[in-house]
Amino acid sequence: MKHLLRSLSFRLAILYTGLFCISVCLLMGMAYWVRVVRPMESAHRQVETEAARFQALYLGSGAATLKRALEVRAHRSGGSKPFHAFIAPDGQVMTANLPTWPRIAPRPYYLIEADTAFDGYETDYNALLNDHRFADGSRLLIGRDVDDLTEEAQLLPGAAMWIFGGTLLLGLSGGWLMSRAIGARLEVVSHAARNVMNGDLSGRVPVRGTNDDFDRLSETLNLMLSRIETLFDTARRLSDNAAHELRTPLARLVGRLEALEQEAGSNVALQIAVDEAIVEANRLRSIVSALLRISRLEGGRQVLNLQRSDVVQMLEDAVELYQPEAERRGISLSLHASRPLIADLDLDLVFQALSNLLDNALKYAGSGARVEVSAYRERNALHIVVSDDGPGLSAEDTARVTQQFYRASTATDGSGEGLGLTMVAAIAQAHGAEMALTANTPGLRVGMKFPLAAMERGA
Amino acid sequence: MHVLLVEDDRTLAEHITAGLREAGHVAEHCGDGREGLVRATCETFDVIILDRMMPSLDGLKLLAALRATDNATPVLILSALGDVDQRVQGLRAGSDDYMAKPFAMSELLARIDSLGRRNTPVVEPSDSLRVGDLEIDLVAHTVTRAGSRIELTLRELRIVAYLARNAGRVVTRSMLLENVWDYNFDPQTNIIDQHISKVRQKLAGDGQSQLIHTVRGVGYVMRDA
Repeated sequence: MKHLLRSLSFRLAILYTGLFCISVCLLMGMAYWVRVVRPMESAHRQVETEAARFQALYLGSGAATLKRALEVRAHRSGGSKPFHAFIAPDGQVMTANLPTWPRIAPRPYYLIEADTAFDGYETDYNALLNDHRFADGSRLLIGRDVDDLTEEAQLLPGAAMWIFGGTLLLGLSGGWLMSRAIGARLEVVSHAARNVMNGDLSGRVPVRGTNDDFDRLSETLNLMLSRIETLFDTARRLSDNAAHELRTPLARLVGRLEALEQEAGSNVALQIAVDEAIVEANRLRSIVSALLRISRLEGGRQVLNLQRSDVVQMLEDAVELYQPEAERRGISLSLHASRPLIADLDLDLVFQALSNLLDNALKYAGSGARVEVSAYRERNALHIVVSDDGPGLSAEDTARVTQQFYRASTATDGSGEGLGLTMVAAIAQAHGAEMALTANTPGLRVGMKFPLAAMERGA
Repeated sequence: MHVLLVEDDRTLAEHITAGLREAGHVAEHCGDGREGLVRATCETFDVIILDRMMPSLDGLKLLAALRATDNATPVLILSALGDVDQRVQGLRAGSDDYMAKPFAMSELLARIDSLGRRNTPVVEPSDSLRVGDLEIDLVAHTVTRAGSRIELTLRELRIVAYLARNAGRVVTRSMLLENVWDYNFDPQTNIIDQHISKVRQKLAGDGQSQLIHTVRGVGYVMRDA
């Protein structure tokens, strides 16, 4: 339901229904004006002129003439039924065809019911009256039947309610259907896009062949995807070639050095020199591998091998792997995580990240420190945290440690290439995870936050 | 052992063949993928060392063609493409081992030794291993030395079993890491050494001889000295 309310097509449908309802209201208002308000005004004017005529007649010719004229008018057919009542100053009804009237006029013009029985049938009338009291105390009521109009006035709002309700219902259900249809087509597009993101670069958006807006969108997307695939292939070839071009000479170098070591024989000085050269060559090797790997990860060229995995098992393995090293350094290493904790991860990569983090923590925390690995699920995210209570990092270092080759000023140990955290950051990014370094007061806390929902949808 | 090396870089090939011959193997070199495939299918080798990026025929395609002919000769891929996923790709394509360039000759020799042994049928009781007075029961997960039982964690048991299976042959740190831990990754430090020293302490009680020996600069070997 929430998803439906958020969908653009449904919102558009609601907007459309809203506009439609407003139009219906306007139309109904216009109908009311044409069918009720205007005829009522003309009836009003008619009564007004008639009343003025009969009042003048009374003032000019007297009561008897007026009475006669009124009775003639009552029996004239054509137009809406005329009503009148003429009451003498003493309260005696001189002539009337109104069944009842109020004793005192509420307003100069008003509506009263004037149902009349004729031949046993009762006919409904509704009279619009002009009620005039002359200076001598006599009272003249002149009116016309407006029953048609009042009936219409009563009927129209009811009809308007029904039409309005119907419009709303049809609009909303239409909107729902439309948003489902559009949503389904959009889902096809985003499904294809997700497939591509998950590494299937040959994936394309299906085109229906109806040449509608969606087809044109799909065609454009497919063009873009082909373009991306080409670029991607080029980048991969380049990076493979770079790996080849960098590693082959390195392999030759190591080979030459090894041969040299053999030849050195009893020449100890040469032996030592060659050994040192080999150590440096190995260091170069690991820098090159790490750089190539980071560039592949950052460029999205390494396809993740996502597996639904028991996170706690992986953490246990990592902690177990580093436990002897922690013991040797006099550091207590512990794990805080409880099952079940399941996520779709590339285990090799996340294990690599953990290994780098534990390596750093053990290297920098110092003897007697505590290193803690923990994992928990919070809302739709999996958090994996490695924290220590060692010396920690300055704010400046914290901001820069994930940069390539950056080494914190506290790093006294010469080993490592300053690429460990860069690789962790690249692995996190490849998983769509956020990596955060925060102070642990004292110590450092490195957290990775993997979005679970997105991964589950992506799987 | 009779080894075929398919590698297009001449300097590297010379170095490898020299190293192999020095270690007592018969090494033959082939600088081209197509020619390599012909030789691999027509002749019998104990191990084939294969480069991936070669002109004329890519190493993985060569491997696929070879495996399609039901040829099960152990293949070690030696490639500049050394990332974990590329490694997994190589293993899935049917190679038995994968090494990234640059490499140490000693590591290559250790791996070839381990591979060559796989090809020769050895009558080996699958549920127990024995090195000197050390006995490993792989079914009951127990290790005994001279009759007395040694308590090991599951991981330590796997380390001991892997060393025992390769008894007499050098096992490098990365071989241990790949075979005993279920993750493909690169540790930045030699964390394996600490595990080995713990296992060593447990295996050699008071007065007993060491079974696991360090081979300087290469790795470890288990042997009943």
